[in-house]
Amino acid sequence: MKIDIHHITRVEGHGRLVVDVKNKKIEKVEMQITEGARLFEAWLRGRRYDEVTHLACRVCAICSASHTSSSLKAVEDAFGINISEQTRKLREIAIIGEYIQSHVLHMYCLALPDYLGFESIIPMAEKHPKEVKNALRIKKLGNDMAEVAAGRAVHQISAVVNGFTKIPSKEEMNKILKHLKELRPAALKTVELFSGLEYPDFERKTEYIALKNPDEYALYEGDIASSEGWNADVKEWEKSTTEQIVEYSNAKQGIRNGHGYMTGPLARVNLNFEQLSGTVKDAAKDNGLRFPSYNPFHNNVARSLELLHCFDQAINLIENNNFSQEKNEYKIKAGDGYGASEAPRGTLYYHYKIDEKGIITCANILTPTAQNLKNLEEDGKMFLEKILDIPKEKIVHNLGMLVRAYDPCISCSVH
Amino acid sequence: MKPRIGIFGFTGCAGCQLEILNLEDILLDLFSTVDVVNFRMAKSENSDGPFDISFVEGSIMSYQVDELKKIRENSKTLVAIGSCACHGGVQYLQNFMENPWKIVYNDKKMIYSSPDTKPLSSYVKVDYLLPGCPMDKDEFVEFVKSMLMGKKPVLKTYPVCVECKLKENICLLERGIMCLGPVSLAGCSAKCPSNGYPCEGCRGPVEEANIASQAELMKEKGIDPVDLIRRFRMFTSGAKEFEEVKA
Repeated sequence: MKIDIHHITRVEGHGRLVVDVKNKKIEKVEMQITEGARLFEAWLRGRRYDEVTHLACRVCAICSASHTSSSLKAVEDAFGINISEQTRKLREIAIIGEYIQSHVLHMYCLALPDYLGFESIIPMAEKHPKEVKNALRIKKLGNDMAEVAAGRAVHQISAVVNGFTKIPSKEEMNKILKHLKELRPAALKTVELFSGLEYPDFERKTEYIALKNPDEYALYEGDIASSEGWNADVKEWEKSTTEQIVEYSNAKQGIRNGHGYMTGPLARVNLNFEQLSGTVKDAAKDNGLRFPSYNPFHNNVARSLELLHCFDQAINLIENNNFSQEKNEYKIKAGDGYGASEAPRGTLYYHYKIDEKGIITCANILTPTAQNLKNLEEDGKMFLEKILDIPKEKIVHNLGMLVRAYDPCISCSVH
Repeated sequence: MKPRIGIFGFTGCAGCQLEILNLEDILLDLFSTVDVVNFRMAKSENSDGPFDISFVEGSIMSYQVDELKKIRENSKTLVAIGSCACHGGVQYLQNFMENPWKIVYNDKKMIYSSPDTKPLSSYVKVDYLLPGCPMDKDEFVEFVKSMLMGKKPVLKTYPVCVECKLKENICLLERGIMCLGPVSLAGCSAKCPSNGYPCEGCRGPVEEANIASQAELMKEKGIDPVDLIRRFRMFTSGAKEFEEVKA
């Protein structure tokens, strides 16, 4: 049996899944990333420290706030800058806005049609208008948050090295706060909805990696934590993981100790469940959810918990703050800089080498989707073994669902 | 009959397709006014055409040319959306380098390798450009409305400075900051200068802009010529007028 899903739909970018099975033996499961190679790590060389972030964030539209943060952190690490509490909070608000829009986009527009039997959100909206309208309202709130905090929802403008070129007004922030409180019940309903879906019965334990922060559920910053006991500073990322180049894919694949690993919502919830807000943990309990889970389809449930957590965290950040323009002074310093944050799809890592004039001489970017690809193929093999006896058409559909559970961001992966 | 719409993405960040999905307030109305028959990012059932209007995002690698040509053949109107489709986008910057493939892939030969990346107009006739990184979603909505009413869409023909002045922003160029507002096409509501950040020309050059003279003026203001070239080579370096700026 040969399967060739030439263009996987309801994912961002161009991906192709090629499967070959002979005499019930799985010979091949290849996640081919056919999206054009964009070569950021080549042409970012020679750019200046204060322009590199606006270029780098173009790796991805959906998680541009995370690219902005990881890139700025790498520059600031090289320069030895300690950012202010306000800068950190504003960046976190932009990232939370991004999580809200990205998670809702994935859950309702890309994933849910599979579980409710629709080809897309368009016919789904006719049958479930209330749910879809609420989802779109939440999604818009996420975009509005990123826009208020950093100038624009897609490709942020005002976040710069050590600060912001514009600070949001109290009125703008209060409006966001009001909408967060209004829509929180709809976010809670999302947890209920996604907890109640029927996910394929499939488990495969792998290595889960995420940032961990002793003070909070890590989104903006933390150290590396892994389910296999790897705990380290983010600087160590390239020393313990490798990126494998395969000829059938323009995206490299993350490898650690010879196998794939998982980063993203399920990895984060598996590792950091206890740091979710109290009401999120209660919602998980009320809906019978248990973590760690080794079912990759539970990425969807993890996303719904993170969505609710983002509401609580954003309310907390905005309610207790007064933002005002701060002085922004720093000196250019040559050296290596490292920055990592948790993007919606997993840990996003940047490493720049910068010379004494502030020019980038080397850039390495590890995106969540590229890191997840090997693990996705490993899941695909084992999942396929389990479903080999069902009709081919259903196998194709199920494999598409598995790919979507990772919410791959293919543009990111071919940066 | 409702117009049949196709929304396609090639090489880019998917931000312009995302901006369509970011029209949350009117998304369901939009989907009920037009018949979206191909939108792989959001739909599983997709038609190969014909299309009344195709919106195409992304720059084109050599192995994507045939697919683009097929879309062109099946479309009455083809619209390039975003900087990548209009002017090559950020990935066009690889064209200014010696062997960028070596840096990223260690020269490994791959199935989907491509030696270059170009805007749509290098391969097919493009009827309209909706530039920007990302494209401006309000401009997109105005465009769709015009097409639905059978009107010729009115696109901006003046520079970002006009929109910036209307917003009463303090001029960044006057302060010696390298802002490309005078030579860049409007249509973004001057979002960057309104956020205290100089225009980076993401919508490409405005028609008849005197770019050479603007560059001279900026140098007189003390802007380093090397910095200046880099500023013109951000998101729209594939636009001939920007590509030609010299030190």
